[in-house]
Amino acid sequence: MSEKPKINIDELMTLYLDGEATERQRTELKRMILHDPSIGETLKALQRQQRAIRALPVESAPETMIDDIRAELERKLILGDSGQTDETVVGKSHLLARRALTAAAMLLIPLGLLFVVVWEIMKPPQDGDMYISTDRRIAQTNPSETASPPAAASTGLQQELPFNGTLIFKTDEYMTVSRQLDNAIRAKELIAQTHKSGAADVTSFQIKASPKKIAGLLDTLTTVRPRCKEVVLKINGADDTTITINDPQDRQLKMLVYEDNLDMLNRLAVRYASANLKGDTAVAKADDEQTMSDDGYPEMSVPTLAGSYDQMQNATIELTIYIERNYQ
Amino acid sequence: MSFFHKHKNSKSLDDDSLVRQCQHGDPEAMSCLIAKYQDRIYNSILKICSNRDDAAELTQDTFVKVIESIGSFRGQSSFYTWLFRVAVNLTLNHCRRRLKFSPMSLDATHDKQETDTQRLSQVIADSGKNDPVRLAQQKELARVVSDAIGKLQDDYRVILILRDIEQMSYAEIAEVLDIEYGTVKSRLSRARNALRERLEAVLT
Repeated sequence: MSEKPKINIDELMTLYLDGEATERQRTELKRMILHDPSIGETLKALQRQQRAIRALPVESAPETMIDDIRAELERKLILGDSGQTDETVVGKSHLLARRALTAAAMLLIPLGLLFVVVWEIMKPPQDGDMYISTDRRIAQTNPSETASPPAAASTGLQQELPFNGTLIFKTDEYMTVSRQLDNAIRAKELIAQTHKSGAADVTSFQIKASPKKIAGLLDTLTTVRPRCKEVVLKINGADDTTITINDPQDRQLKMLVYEDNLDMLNRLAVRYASANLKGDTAVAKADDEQTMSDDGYPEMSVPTLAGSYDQMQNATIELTIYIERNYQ
Repeated sequence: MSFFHKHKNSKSLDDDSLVRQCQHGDPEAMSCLIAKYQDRIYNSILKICSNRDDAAELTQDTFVKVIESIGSFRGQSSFYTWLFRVAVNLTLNHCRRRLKFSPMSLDATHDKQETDTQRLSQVIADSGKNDPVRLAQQKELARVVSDAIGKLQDDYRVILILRDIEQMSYAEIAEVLDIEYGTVKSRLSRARNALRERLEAVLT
């Protein structure tokens, strides 16, 4: 008899305090207070309590909060820890882990700077007529030599296509561009096929996947280009040559990615490099359009895969994308 | 104007558009979202966990987690309730872990509370003096109320803070805590009664 009505009165008082009581509930509560003055006393105590809670001092976040959050995000981006796991670990062990990660990051930063310096020293001239070089810097800096990339996620027989290139984005908006590429890789479901590594000012994404998947990823990078000071594609061609294509156009990239013949790939790459070097991209684009099929795929030069892009699903190519912080 | 209303009524920065810009990698939008909510998140977490360093760390973790997963935010709930949901979950996990590693003596806690209450009753009985005394009383009252809230069980403490400090509606609380509307009502009622029992000597 006493327990259930008591619960109702308590809840009624809560609704009344929070302004959530209906007119009928308010009337009912007033009637109860008239009948039992102790209910009125309890309500007054609850009101005083609510006022006391609301009068508690408001504390502001530390002034460095935004900078701390940015630094933490940057650190995670550098370490490739992109929040794929549920973050529930806090407390002492969490703090120790954080300290260990911070120490690791501090070691990575000088290494990254060293990497950039070495890269700058060994980088070939990108202006002038020497767009075909025989150096092997791409291979030397390619993460595939130090870390094994994950296998392409396909179930059928895999076939290698000749394309093997490095796309370099040099940008003043290093963090934003890196994040955009991160998001694009997620959106295109290429995480399992991507090996990410990086230092303070360079992040690399080594992707091994079907041409269709990679072409799809490249399509989404149109928002990245305007943020970049320089875009360069380096193709590992025949006889250990490296062909440098400045400011490669979308259609050029697509043609190269889908090319199934090594000789044709080399010829195309040389032609694009030459055209772009002369600023004659319109000519190169017009040239490309003649070899594009109705469905938007480029036509293959030699039908080594029976001439069908559907049958390229099991073929893989390798593209490494570098995001570099621009210091110029 | 209360802290809550000062911020909640501010429409100069629209969450939806900030979230969209943030999803496209705009660092300015990210900074705006942090600036808009950092004090409220920090204040609520501090009231729940009662430790400034932990509150700062948890506030940072909350925003990092939210920004990392903002790409998957589809807007089924408001950004505001989603943010608080992440904050509350992280803070409660932290509280449970802390409790596990540093058990407190309940007897000692109870004794200390009685001492605090007696002292505060004495201070209030001496009211009517000059302003410094009044300020000291208010400060002492705030400390006792904070301590009493801090000693409530986790789910009571959280719901009281969301309602009476953050001034969320019952519907918003239900969304943040992932509970039914009716549960909000009953839990809030029990939480207030539990706190009233602790503060009875001070507030009657």
